[in-house]
Amino acid sequence: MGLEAHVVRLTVLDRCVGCGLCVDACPVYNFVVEDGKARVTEGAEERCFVCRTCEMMCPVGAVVVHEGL
Amino acid sequence: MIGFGLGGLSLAKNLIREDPDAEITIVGDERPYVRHKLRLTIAGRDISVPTDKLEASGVRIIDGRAVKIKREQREVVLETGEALPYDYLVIATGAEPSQPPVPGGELTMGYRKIGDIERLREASPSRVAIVGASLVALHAADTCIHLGAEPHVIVRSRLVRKSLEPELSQELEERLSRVGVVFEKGKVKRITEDGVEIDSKMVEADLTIAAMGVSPEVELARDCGIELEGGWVIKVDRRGQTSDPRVYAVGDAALAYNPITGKPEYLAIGGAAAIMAFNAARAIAGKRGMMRTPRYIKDVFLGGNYLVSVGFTSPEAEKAGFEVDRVELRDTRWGDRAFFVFERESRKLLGFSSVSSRDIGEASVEAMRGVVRRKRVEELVGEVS
Repeated sequence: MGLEAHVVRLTVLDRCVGCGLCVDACPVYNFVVEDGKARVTEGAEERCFVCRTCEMMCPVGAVVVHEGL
Repeated sequence: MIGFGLGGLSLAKNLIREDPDAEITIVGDERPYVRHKLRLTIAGRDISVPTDKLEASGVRIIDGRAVKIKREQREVVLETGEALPYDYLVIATGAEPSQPPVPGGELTMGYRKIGDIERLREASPSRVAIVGASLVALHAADTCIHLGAEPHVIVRSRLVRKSLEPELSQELEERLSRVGVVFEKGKVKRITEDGVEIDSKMVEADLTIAAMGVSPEVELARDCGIELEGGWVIKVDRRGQTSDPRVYAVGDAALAYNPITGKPEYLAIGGAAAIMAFNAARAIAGKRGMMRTPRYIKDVFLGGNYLVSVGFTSPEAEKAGFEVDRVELRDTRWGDRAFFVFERESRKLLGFSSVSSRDIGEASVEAMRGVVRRKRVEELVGEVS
């Protein structure tokens, strides 16, 4: 596979407690909290910095950034 | 705020939230882009970061350069002569690739900006020498292969030494060799237009990329008397405050703090810059609390080869004064080959590294959390013999 196939995918696991730290952490507005859970916003994968701040700041380990090449 | 990379962007976004009344001005001579995705630009992908939300929130963005900080007057002077007053100043000037300290070092180019990729593409080289064994060196090697050039990565000791156990450096090297990266072992003696001389051998190349790490951009801070650590990086406290209480520094220009030892260390990792910005914004807004900056790296290279690293490697942990043990796991959820490093007596985790042919996803987050929270190794992997 080539660089054309590069993808980033953001996942919020069921264990999310809706604290909103990922909303605060992400420099490019990739998360919102709705109905007590974080949700990935539209276009997030293209914007994602792959800085993994969301993974590091989530208090329950509910955010995972997948990257594929 | 001076500088508009990930640190500057994060700081502005966090400060808008923490202090909605703050008037924020950012001065930068480039717009933010996703450095991690630099290699994607050769496939025509746009890696610039939209700033419309910041601007809609009232942030003033000045495309330009700051040339002086007048701390007594609390002003930043721009190259146009305009003086910007501040209550708080944030230095987020980043870093530049370090040149190899050998004759001809100035002939190298960096691999850090969109312009570097354009230069590489325009040069259309058939062989490229890459000096350094860093993640950046491996990103550059990926880019070369996609441009049809043969990358020769010159390694003095071993690949990604501070992030991988020695066996994993070897594993990664073997995997990347199979997809076209040529590794050359030796110490760089000099660099010429024809390539790089190592020990008694010449590695011929059409151009040479320096990927030996970065040097913080600290001239503005140095010139105005802000204290530097060791004369090369801005000294800050855990929340990013410099020796001047009105001036903060975040990102690659400043020191971070190791969450295990509590000691200052230089990280130059995107995620750390964003967390440093989070902490500094809260401090400027007068809020309590801070997040720790783990040394957490996850990356993917040509051939679908993944690397995950958090905390210390065993050699680095020993250097930091720990009595170390480790456990190796093969073909598990932690990756094709993975090591947990832990303190021998307490069995508390100090580090994790893994090389794999797949994204280990949630397991990497679990390992990172295990190291940062100093869990016992058995809590993650079960009984260790």
